[in-house]
Amino acid sequence: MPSSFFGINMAGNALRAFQNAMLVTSNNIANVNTPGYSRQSVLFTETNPQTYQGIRQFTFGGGVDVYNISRIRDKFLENRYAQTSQDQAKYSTLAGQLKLTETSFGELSSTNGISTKLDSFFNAFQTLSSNPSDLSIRSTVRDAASSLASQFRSLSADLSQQRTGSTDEITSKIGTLNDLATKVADINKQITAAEGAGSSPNDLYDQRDTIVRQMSQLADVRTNITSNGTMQIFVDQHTLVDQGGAHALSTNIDLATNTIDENGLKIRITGGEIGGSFDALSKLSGYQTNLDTLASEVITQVNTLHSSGYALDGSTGHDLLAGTSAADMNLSDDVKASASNIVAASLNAPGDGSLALAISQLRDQSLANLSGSTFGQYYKDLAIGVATDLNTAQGAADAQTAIRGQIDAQVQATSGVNLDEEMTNLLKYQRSYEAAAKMFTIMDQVISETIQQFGR
Amino acid sequence: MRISTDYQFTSSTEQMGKALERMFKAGQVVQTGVRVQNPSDDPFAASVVLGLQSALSNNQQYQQNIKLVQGKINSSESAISEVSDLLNEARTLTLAGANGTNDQQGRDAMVAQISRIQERLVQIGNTEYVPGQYLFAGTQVATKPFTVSGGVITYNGDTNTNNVEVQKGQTQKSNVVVNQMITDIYNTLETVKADLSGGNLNKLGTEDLDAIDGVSKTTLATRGDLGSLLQLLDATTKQLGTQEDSLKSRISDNKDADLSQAITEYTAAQNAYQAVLATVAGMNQVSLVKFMTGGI
Repeated sequence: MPSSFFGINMAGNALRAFQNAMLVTSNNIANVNTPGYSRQSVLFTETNPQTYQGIRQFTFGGGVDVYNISRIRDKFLENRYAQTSQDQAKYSTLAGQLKLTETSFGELSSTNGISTKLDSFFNAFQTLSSNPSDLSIRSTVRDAASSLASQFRSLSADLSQQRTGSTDEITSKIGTLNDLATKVADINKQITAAEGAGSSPNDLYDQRDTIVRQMSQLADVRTNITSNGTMQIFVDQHTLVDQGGAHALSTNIDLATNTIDENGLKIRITGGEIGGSFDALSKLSGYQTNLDTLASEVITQVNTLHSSGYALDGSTGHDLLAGTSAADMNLSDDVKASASNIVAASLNAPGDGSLALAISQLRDQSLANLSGSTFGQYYKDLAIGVATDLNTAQGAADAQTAIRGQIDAQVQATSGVNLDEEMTNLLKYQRSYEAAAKMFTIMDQVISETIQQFGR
Repeated sequence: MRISTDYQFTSSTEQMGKALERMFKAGQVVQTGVRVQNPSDDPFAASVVLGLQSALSNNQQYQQNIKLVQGKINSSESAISEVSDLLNEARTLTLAGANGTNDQQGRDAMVAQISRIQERLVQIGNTEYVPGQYLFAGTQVATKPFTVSGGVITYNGDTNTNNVEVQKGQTQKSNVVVNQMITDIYNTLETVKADLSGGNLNKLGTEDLDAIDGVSKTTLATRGDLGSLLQLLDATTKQLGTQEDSLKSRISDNKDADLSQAITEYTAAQNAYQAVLATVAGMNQVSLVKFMTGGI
């Protein structure tokens, strides 16, 4: 026979177990909107049975106990989420920055693009060639040349500014990454302590996973969990977090190689927002190189012809443009001083427009320095190159957003809280608690009967 | 699949956002009538459009060039036709001078008339198409081309033409060189004057008349040359006009929206948005809690 209080014990255990279960369920309900929260569930277990010798041997079940409060989380999905998050953040950052570049080029959306200015420039020389002795048409030519040069300068300045912007963004985001690494190191310490004491700190795991998600937004970090519960975080060859704590990543950006210089070690970040900004930097510097090549070729070709011709007063040797790149392209001092220094004639004859015609025909000339393209084609390839890069980045960002959404749906399917489900559980545990309470009352009555009836 | 409550809401929000974005974009196309607003909307079409726009800009410039050339050639043509008239007048005078019924006094009066014709001829040779810019000086447009001193005419210009592009790779002269023609006419008339003064009636009726007919022919040939150039320019203008229309319509084909298609897409997007709104509103009305607390 079990002891008289065996039943009371069992009822008490059951009451405690169902109360705990209701607490866990309440915690799930309370955290229904908490980002990164993984639902928890109570695992019940039977307690040790007790065996007694009657006519034969009986084994009585000992009731219930809470075995564990487990956190429902799929590690594999979490890693997949981090990876797509890195790609998604990278492409949408790149697309965001290239969108600005496209706006600066201003093709189609405005009439201020370089393609229009190039056309106007060559057209002005056509007009001059048909009316070479006209002084007022020279002003038109000067305006067209000046506006072409200023468009080159402003686009070049925009590109430089965007590069500075991207660099600043990288620096600030490395700062954020380092802050997050420090937080992970702190949580690591608490987790190892708790695990050492034999408990599983679910809230700390959630917090740490949430921070890793944030870090994946920034860079292509890799994680590993050691046997004592420490999470290690790496980015390229740099260890951000290990058992020893957080190791901040340097903010020395090497613009020549688009890497981060960590005491001579080149750290290359290829994912997340930082990776996207590095991609943007390398694209922008490519655009700028091409723009400079184009500007310098325009200056050289136009000046070579222009300086060989005769101005209206018979003088010769005037350049039209000054500068060597898009950034410093401008009108030459001669032409700034007077529009009459603009040259239309290849002979000393005011009615000869053959040089103006030759300059206007540069438009259709394929140039070795521009890989056999004309000015217009070369520029068009550059502008459409930007558009294609942007279009590709946007497409990739959209695709990655969709994939991330699907993975998030799977993560949520596993870890997310469903209120209907929790309400059902709450009801279930409530009814169980009521039954256990009733059981307690009955046991109490039985014992009180024994004590009162037999104790007289 | 298990649906978490939070996901139900976030995914609803996302779907609403997507549907709204689609409707907004479709609406923008309908409002502006432009399908490719930025090159990245359709890089291929944008590349075609940029090429066509540049071709259109060239085309319009050629048309403008032709107008300028036409202006100069028209002025030249009317000047040369006046030279023809002057030659007719001179021929009539020479014929009358060769007739024995006129006395020397009459012939002297004719000399004075021929001199006036010569003056007019030189004036025509020095025509300015804008003040200070001479039409018949070759490319030395700032130099007065013809000067006369003691019955000798001198040409101070050059014999170059200024060529203007009127179509890709095709140039036309915008001026005619007439120094030889004007000099010949002037000298022929000088001979006529000498023969009138000297009473050389026989020569007037034969050699001089032939000489006038000779320069008349040259003048007519020059006029014909100018006339055919004008015709050619007219034809080129027409051709450029046709090309311009075609370029504009191709730009529009690549860049602009097909309005009926755009409106259809807008309507579809609007329906989709309404459907999403309706389901989101309906979906969030049911939950177990609501039943338990006596809702609905």
